[in-house]
Amino acid sequence: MAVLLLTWEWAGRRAAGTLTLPPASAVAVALAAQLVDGRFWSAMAVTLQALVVGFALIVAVGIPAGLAAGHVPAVGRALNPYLQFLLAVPASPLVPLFVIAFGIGLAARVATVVVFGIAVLVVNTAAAARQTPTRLIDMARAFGASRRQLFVRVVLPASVPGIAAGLRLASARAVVGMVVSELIIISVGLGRLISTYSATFDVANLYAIVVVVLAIGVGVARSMTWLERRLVRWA
Amino acid sequence: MGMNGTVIEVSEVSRHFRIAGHELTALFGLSFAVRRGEFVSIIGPSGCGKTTLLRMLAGLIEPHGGQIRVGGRPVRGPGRDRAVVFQDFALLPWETVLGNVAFPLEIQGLPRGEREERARRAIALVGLAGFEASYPYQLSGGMQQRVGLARALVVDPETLLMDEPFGALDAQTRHLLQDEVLALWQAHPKTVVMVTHDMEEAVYLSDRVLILTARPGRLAREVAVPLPRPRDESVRRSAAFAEAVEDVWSSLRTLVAA
Ligand SMILES: Nc1ncnc2c1ncn2[C@@H]1O[C@H](COP(=O)(O)OP(=O)(O)O)[C@@H](O)[C@H]1O
Ligand SMILES: [Mg+2]
Repeated sequence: MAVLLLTWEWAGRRAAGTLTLPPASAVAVALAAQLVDGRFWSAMAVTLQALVVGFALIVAVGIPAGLAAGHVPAVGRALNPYLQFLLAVPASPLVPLFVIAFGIGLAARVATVVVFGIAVLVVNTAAAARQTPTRLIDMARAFGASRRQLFVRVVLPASVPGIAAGLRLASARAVVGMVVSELIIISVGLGRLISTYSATFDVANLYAIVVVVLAIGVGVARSMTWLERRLVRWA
Repeated sequence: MGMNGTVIEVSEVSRHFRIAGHELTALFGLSFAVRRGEFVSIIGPSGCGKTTLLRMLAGLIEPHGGQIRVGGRPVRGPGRDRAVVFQDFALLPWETVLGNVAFPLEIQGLPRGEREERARRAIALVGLAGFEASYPYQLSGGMQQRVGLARALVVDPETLLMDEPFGALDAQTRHLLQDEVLALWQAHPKTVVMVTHDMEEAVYLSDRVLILTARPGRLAREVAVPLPRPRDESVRRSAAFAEAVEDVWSSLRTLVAA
């Protein structure tokens, strides 16, 4: 890390006068100035709002949908084409469609976050539910478990590792969706700052905002890894 | 209960499986009966339908021909009169030993206090007192199967169904658990049907050994084990034991002609 920063500083100073790479120290100064600026924080709030609402929707819809798809084969078959589409196709071209459908407000950005993140959670959850060990299902049935008990006491807990992994992957994609929505068409939040600074060649501030976006991504990934470890202590 | 103390009646039972459009007959025209309190082992070539038979006795799958009666009534699904011990233990990895053993009682809807008390007693019975809070991954194979055994005993079933219960264990652990199952069975008489591929195990534990033919499985022969009870290590070393094993082997040898 220290080596990386020093290399960056050195390369930045050598490139002084050009617009490509500011020295690390200049970015640090710019970042410090941003952190005491009210406009930065309101941009941050706008950005995080889409991420939080979008991710909440991903969780609320994705986990039940995944469990249904994995546990009930007919549901799985019905959802599969859409999931494959969402996983295979780059989601960015959909953003303009959301703008047409929802306007340029919060809804379109939330939709982008959801579309980026939800499929991977549904697919992981469904795979885990489907792969509930047959021996455990046999065991529960042999001791008289009802369909409901079988689901609640066997399929659901057996799916927890898959759900946790799905949450981790979905959260990373949701962060990408958050950034993409603000860079394409819907110019608000941190995305707007990035566009502005890059249009005015203010590279130090541009890098400062990029660092913040990266930090959000790392923070989200870290907390999801922590959650995963908490949820799956028995495996 | 059936007449003459018969608890389990298997009459002309057949079962098929469809694999890739192919009809495979696992069992065909299998008949036998088990008396109340009897310990019966089922042995036969691999793939002859032993697990299939046990799953039908447990009520997990249905016969395609013939009938299975337990306690005088045709089997229509799993029932509280039967409990199963699985070869691969089938423990819930996210539950503790206590949670696993209490699981069948939870399914039955017993209040927490009662099911935990009964689970603790069953855990002590199989020699696992002190391990109530352990998770399956923290236990050896032998200890995991003790949990499987306690989970079956906790419901106090009339009939115990065991599918190669010691098949996944090393030889020493297997011997130890065989002796413990014998002791438990002496103290708490139950009807036991045990599938095994181990002839010595079948002879050591059983009153009768049923030998099945290669697929489609049907009864080839039954061997009554003439050894006295209670049995212990000295029985394992007796000439009568060796003779009984040899008897089973002589039948099995012709069936496994592979
Ligand atoms: N669920 C199933 N689907 C398809 N074939 C099966 C199924 N269960 C068992 N069989 C087949 O039936 C035969 C008997 O299997 P099984 O009862 O497991 O034999 P054993 O326990 O004696 O080794 C085997 O050929 C096996 O492949
Ligand atoms: Mg088997």
